[in-house]
Amino acid sequence: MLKLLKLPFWQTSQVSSHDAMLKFIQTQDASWLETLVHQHQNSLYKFIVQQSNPDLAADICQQAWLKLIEKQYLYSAEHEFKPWLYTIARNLLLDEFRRQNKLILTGDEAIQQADFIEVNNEELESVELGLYRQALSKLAFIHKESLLLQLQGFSLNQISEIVGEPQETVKSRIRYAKQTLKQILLTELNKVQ
Amino acid sequence: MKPTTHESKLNSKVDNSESDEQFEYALLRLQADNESQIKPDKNLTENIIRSVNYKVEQNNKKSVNWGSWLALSCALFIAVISVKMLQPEIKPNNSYIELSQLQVIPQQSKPEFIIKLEQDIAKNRAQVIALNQNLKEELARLDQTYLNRSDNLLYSRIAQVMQSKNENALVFCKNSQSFIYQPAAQNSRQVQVNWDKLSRQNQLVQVVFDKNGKIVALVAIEPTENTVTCPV
Repeated sequence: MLKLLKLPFWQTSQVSSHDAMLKFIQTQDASWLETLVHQHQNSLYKFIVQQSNPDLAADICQQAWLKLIEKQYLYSAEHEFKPWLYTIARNLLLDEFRRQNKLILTGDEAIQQADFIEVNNEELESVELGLYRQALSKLAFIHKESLLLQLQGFSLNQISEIVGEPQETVKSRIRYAKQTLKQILLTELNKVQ
Repeated sequence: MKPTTHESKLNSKVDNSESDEQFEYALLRLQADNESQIKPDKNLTENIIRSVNYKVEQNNKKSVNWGSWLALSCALFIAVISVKMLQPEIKPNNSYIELSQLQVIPQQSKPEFIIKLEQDIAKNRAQVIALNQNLKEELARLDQTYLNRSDNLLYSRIAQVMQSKNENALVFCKNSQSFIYQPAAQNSRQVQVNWDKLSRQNQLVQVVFDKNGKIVALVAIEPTENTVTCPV
């Protein structure tokens, strides 16, 4: 937090992420990146960890920020910062899954995640939340990632950019994810009741 | 009263839509709760910032290194160019020029080495005077001979076109003074001269001067067994 103070107040409070990234590219001043890390690291971690595990998510996040420095020359005025960061992180995650052979390719529905986030029921505050986590973990990777992105507030267009698929495909993936989630949750709730 | 099929469908649609809305709401709430419970390692952000700072620093160092190498290369390049530019300009001697025997060579067509030679002669007045004196004596002698037409005679010497210090040069042969009868040579054909080729062959030429000691023409001498080198 102290490091943030190195920047004039308008840099941290008024500059958009996109502008901060452009400033970093122009000046190579790491304090701009620090601002971006503070702004986006938590949500990025939450997105990644729900598709992997805490250790891998931490590793992927770290790699993503370093990759962002490496690939800064690809970033231009037309880009949006957050989707760009997520695209980098997602690609790293997929690379890692491929390296660990944790992806099963099944035709159009391409990617299934074989390793789900561990659910520790003791930590759960409610049965409902526990069931939700279990249901989420049963979704296919491609359905879950689109749903999580939407729930994090990304637009269809942005999700389409991150996952590299047309908007229609993304829309149907999200619909499928919600339907599946609903079915699983209803079934599980009925069992509990 | 039992609802019609149409009414049932409508009711079911409304129910579904209400159910969807409820589910969407529940989903948002559950996901918010879920994410609020996800706590990354406290040190993760700090570690990332440290890595990012280190990487940027390394990149900046690299670019400084590149910058210094670039500056060094530019300085070297400029130095080489400067040295090249400071060197005296060497006019190509192998350009073909039109030469007509006993015709004044236009100044701009003269190769560098001939201009230098003329400059040397101009500097060395004694040589010019000697040449002229020699010329006068010869003319005086010739005045007594059958020619008796000294006005039409031009002083000449035989020389070899040779390479000297990577430049073409005229090396005069000793005791090779002679006179050329001007009108007799005036109809000679023009030739193209490749000075490099001539110097490679050590070509013998007759250098013709006007009365002021200025070179007015070069007449190539066909090499024979006796005239490959300066005549002794």
